[in-house]
Amino acid sequence: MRIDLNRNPVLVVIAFVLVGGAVLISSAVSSASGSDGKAGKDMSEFRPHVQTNTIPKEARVPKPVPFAAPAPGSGPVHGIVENSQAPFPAGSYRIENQWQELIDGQWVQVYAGSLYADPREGVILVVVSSADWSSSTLAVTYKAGTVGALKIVAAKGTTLSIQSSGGATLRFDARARAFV
Amino acid sequence: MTSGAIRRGARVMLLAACGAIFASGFLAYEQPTIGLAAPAATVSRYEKTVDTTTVGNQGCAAAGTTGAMILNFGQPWYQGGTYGTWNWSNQFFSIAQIQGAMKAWLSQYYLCGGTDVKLAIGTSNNFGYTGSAHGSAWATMVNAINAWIASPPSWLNVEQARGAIDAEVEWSSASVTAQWAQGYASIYSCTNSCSYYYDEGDAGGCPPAGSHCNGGWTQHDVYYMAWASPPAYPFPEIYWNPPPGGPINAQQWQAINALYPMSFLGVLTEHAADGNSNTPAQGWQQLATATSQSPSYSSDITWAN
Repeated sequence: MRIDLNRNPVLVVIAFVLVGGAVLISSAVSSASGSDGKAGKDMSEFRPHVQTNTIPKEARVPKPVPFAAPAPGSGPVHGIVENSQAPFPAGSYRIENQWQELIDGQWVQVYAGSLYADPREGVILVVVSSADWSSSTLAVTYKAGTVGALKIVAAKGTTLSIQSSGGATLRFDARARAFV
Repeated sequence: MTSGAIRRGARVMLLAACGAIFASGFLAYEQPTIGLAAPAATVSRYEKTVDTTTVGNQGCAAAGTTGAMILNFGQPWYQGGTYGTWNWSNQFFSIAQIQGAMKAWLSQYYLCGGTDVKLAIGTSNNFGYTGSAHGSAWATMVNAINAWIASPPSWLNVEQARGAIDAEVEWSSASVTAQWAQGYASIYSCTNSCSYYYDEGDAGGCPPAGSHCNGGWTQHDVYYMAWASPPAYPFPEIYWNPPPGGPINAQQWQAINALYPMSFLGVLTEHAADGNSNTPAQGWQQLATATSQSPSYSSDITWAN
């Protein structure tokens, strides 16, 4: 097909617009691929490993100067801990505080708080770990209903007194892992 | 220039434009990486001990794997005149204790035949002593561990240390968290191996999940911690398994990436800790698909020590 630009001068304008558009699209694609963001970064951090170690396992020896063994600390806290740290996604729960104790040779950690998305929804989460912390599982997640955020206010043995921000008082047996 | 020359030029440009548009469309089509195989996932941990035997056993157990992994010790803390973390087990671990435990891990990884690992030693921005001084102390520790790895006989061709921070928008403010990054950036070194840090954080509430990020953070604040800070590399949490919300974590990070481009180093999942969340392969595929990138690493975090 022959395009006669003498009869269709508007095509000249269209050509300029299309070329400009193509340049913009290519630029946008390049930007979206992240290439612009790589400036100033060490991209070798992304590079697949190249095996350079030739020493077989059997021939490997420790460093000649052993590192100093760290001094033991005072050990884990027993009882109520006024700390909101918990090994759950921050966007899931707002932890108010927690309680932990060794029960029958296992660490039982009880976390009290609320759902992040709805602070009216009180929650209790229980994580049980071996005495040396080598294994841990999330044992229980309780939703207490719309009573407000929960907080552990007292402990007698393994029975925890829990106050909600809405004024409710609950009792939780950490050994049985159930409300009583 | 004659009108004939202009017309000839316009004709060429018209054809070139059609070709360029076709090529651009082809490039855009080529970007998605759906279907690429995820890298083998490593095991990251919420560390609850600095016992050198227990942690050394973890290093030996990891010797059969390669890649990057994160051992997270908890929130920034200061006690007894030294920095460290308040641990998940509700006890203070000093920098010296963490450093000793990490040397035990790295020793056993090497002696048990490991071939390639980047071990990222993690803390968080979960309130406590998050700030510049803790960031500096953390980078000093990572530098020291890399110097120890490099000491004769050097093991740098097998293992390297990195820092990590679980920077979550729901915890410390963006400015306080940025101070941690600035403290870290002021000290980290490439003398032996570059002591970069990996941002293993979230983008909670950020678009498209919500209209703005949680905790008063902006998308640029998240970008700063994950990429704009000189030692930072993004290793985000991609936890949530659709349905009902779709691969929202990946979409949140892509929304930031679209505004402020970055290259994703890895993907962190927590399937071992929460069986309802993404498997490592699912998390990696979601971020790869959303960003049209191929992150180098995949790691799944567990509570088990």
